[in-house]
Amino acid sequence: MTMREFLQLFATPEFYAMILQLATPLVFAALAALVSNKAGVLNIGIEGAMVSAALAAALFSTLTGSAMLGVLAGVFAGILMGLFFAFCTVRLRTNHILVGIATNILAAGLSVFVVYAITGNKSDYPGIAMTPWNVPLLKDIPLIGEVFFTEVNPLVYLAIVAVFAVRFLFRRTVLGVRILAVGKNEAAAASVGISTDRVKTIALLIAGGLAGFGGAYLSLGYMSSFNTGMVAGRGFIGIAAEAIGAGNPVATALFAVLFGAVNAFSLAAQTFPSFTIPYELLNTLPYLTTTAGLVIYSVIRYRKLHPRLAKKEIKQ
Amino acid sequence: MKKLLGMTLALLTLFSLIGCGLATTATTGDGEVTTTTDDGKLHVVLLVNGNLGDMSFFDSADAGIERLNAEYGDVIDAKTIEMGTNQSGWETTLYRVSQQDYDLIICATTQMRESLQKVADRYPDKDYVIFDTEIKDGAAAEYPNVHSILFRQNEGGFLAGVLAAAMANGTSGMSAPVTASGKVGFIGGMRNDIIYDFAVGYAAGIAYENARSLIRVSLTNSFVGNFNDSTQAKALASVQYTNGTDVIFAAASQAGLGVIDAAQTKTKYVIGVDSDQYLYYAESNPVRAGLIVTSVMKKVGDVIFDTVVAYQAGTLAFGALVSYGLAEGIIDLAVNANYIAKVPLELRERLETLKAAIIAGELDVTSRFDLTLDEIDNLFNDLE
Repeated sequence: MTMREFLQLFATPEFYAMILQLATPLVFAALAALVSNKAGVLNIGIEGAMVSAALAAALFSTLTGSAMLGVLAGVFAGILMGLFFAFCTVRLRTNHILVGIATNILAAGLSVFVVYAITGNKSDYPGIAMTPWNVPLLKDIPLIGEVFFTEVNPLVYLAIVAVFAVRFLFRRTVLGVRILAVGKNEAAAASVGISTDRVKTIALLIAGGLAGFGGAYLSLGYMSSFNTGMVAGRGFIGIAAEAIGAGNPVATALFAVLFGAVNAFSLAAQTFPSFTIPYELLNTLPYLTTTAGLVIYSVIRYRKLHPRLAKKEIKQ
Repeated sequence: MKKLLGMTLALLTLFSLIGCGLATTATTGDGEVTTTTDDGKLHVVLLVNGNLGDMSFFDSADAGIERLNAEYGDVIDAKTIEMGTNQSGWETTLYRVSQQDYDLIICATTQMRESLQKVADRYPDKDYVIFDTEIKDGAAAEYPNVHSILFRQNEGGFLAGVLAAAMANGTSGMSAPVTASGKVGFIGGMRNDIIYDFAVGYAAGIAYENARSLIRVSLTNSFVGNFNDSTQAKALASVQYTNGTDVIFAAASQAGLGVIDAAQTKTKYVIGVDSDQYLYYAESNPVRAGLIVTSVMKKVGDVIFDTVVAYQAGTLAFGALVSYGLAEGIIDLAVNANYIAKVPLELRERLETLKAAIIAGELDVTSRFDLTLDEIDNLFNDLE
């Protein structure tokens, strides 16, 4: 294969469809991070919530025979993990990071335990995959139709809806403004009569639910089974996307999509022999992008906040 | 409120105990229990550097341990310790187990090799088995209390390569979804010796088939980067299948399940690894099972079983390296109902003939251990 064929890759609808598929769980994770962050909680337990949700979704889809009920169970599991996180951080005032680590370890261990208790093996549990949608008429549009409207999982659309729903939440609803207030200055919020604990808990439950969609998408949308290692750090990439997106839901989602794109690129590049970069290096690309993005973001923000300081430093 | 807090704390403790227990099952408590009384039995322990549940390598080894207890329970007491994924605890566990009165300590993979070199020197009157690697390259004799086991997985990879190439060059006589596209794929977990050995054998099989056919089959290699991210593996497989690949050989442990998932999504064939993966899905998901044309089996459990039985009989050679392959029946293609139904008799017979030739020594299959990394790259590049 030649470099030309490699470039042709970027003209194939499959490549863009793959970006969409790989980005969806990241978008959910990033939105979950965003909602908790707005409430002033650094929630690193998103990864754990996604693991439990992925397992619960697979479990209940086979139990009930319905992928939809499976997804609901996944979301419920995510909310439960959010409740656990909220109980520890809000009620018991435990350190956020410690609870986050505990949540992740708990979910990793508990999922192996549950799978083993049910099936006798310790790795995977079959689920009932969601039926992808074909949107009539729209799917006949060249390229765009093939990427966005052919064989697309409903949760992909839901991810897009979720981005704007979160935007709406913070711009147009009382709850959203309260979450913002609590996140910015808890004492001030409390002084005007906002129950800060309740607002924080609600925000963490919303975050849990969003992470739950991400987890359910992995086990029932992208794959059709739960494997113990399947979340593989996607919760943390979501947190990074949120950090670069600087609290803006749309920007956050776009960065999540960028990671999905870099990931899709690193995977596709492996299959092209003319591209001789070792796969170990290609696999670091999404993480390199994350680091680079974070650095660029903080430099820009620093310049904006301290224009004089930044100039002085350069002179010196 | 106090009550609630107390209950939550109790629950938390319970959960964290369960969590720890899972991560490092029995590293602390269990090990000591069995060592208190001398019941005249042979005490054997298998140290899993990782967790069970890979559906292949370690699960198979554990099955061998369970079979020992079932069949030789009156004379052998065998157990498995999962050391978890935290590597820092592995050597400590190896030391601790060596201090207890186990007669035979079994561990695996190159990751345990250096630790075992130290521990085996320190406890010369303990007996050790290490499998899937040699205790020290070309120097098994330097460790008189260690029995090393290697597998010739390249031989199984070779047969898989011939089968895959025949599917892709149109000579297999197989019907859809085989399109005779001239493309086959390989997806490995990581680039380590063992996965490379599968891949080198597979490439050798394709090259062998290319040499006798007019249509040249090309091979695409992809690596997941770990053994558990099935999502990533599925994406890799999807790219290959979309490019027209007729069949992918997946040697990636748990991540390989993602390749099988992709095979179902794209309705293409896949070749499994380590255990007969068709059987695993045959009941729960017949559609998926039907696409697993065969698996390159590596019967680790049988080797563990035979090794311990030989040890019990006093016939196990220490300070030695033993290798198992097609000839010993440890490496093999899975011949199951699906394989017989999908692969035409003529091709199956040809594979049997090749297998016989390898066993008889008439056909020498290239191994990863015969080649330098550059030579392996060249082998792969020639097939692209």
